[in-house]
Amino acid sequence: MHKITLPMTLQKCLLFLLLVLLCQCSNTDELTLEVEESAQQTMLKVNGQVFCIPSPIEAAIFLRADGELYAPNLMLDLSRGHKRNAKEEKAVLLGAYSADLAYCAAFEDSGHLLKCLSTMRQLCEDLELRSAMDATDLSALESSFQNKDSLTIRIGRLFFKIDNYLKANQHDKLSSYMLAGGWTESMYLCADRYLSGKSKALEARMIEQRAAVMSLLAILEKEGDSLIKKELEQLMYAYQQIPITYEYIAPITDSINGVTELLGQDRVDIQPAKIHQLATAIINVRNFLFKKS
Amino acid sequence: MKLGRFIVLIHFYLCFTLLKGQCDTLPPACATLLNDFVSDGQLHRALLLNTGEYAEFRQIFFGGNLYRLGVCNGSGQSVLVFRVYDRDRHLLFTNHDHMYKTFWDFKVKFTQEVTIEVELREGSVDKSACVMLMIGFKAPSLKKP
Repeated sequence: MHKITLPMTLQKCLLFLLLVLLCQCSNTDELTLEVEESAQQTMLKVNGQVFCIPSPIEAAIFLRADGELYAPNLMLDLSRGHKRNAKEEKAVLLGAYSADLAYCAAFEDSGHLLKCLSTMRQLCEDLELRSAMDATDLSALESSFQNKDSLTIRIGRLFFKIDNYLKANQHDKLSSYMLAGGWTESMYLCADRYLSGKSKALEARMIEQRAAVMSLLAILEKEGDSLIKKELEQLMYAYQQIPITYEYIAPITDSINGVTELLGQDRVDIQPAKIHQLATAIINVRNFLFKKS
Repeated sequence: MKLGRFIVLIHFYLCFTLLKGQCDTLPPACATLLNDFVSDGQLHRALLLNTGEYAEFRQIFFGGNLYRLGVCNGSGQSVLVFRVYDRDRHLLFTNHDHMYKTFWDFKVKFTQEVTIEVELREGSVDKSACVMLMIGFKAPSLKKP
């Protein structure tokens, strides 16, 4: 092998060219397939699909609005957060505690909320995400304890900040685990409450999560992980036993106020045995996930 | 020829790195889109490398809630088009009809799965960008009287 050394003048020319090209970057339309492929490996898909998971805050507010009784014993034991776990397990726990945080906030249990926050902060430190949840965030949350709406908005911002921090630092896999933990825990709370009271609204809310299971499977698959793949596939099978048909109704847009009213509707053939099977499958996913932690 | 290829490769690498960098920081304009809506807690982002390319986001809108969708890009300069489709690909909304507004609210009567497409506006100066989708909601108990 010969070592080729470029003359100084040529090196300067190359550097100049690179600077010129750099300035043109935002205007170029010559990007190659190779770059596109590498982009897809590290970022979310383009011309594919990006999957969004329902927020655990929505589920918590729903449980409260549905008139369900507060069941603090259902929440995950906080001592798990202090054990020596792998990073991935800590991310799953962080997600689950986020769901529990949203749950106790919805039911105004400030005592558990504080303990939950403290455990989450510890987990953030363990995951080297200290800046994702600092003292300012905690004091902002504490100052909102008396105003539930404001508290909920701040919790949403905190979750967003953690997710943003994870993704900005190329921890997409941990972000996916956190989503998986959060969704599983919030659905577990819904499924358990459903089995206790057989609420029709909860029944519908569980059925409506079919797309979330598909999204979660896709997200975990993208990260090349089989964390709870088998359990989620079993849950998906339970969903497939419940036929859903969609009826399109044209939306109504109010241009002045910037609001569109969506009127389309799913119609579900509800059979109690299948709904029971679905709730049990959700609980199985949670039990399996946290048996591992 | 080899030198040319080398320069082109460096060019692509730098472009990708710059775009990716845009995706790693949240512009202030994005953060304010949700206003008093509760964030869904996720940063939804995608790289668009060519004009005509679009990002597709799948989302569930739960019945009874009011949702806000907001779009922005890393540099904060590109004009973005977003469209909302139902599961049968009926177009429910596009900001193209509303002067490319960066956010819009959706009052949802019954739960439905939607697909949100985001792309650079045709004729945009930027041919590539990092796009971010912000999703927020207000549940009935959070709605202001």
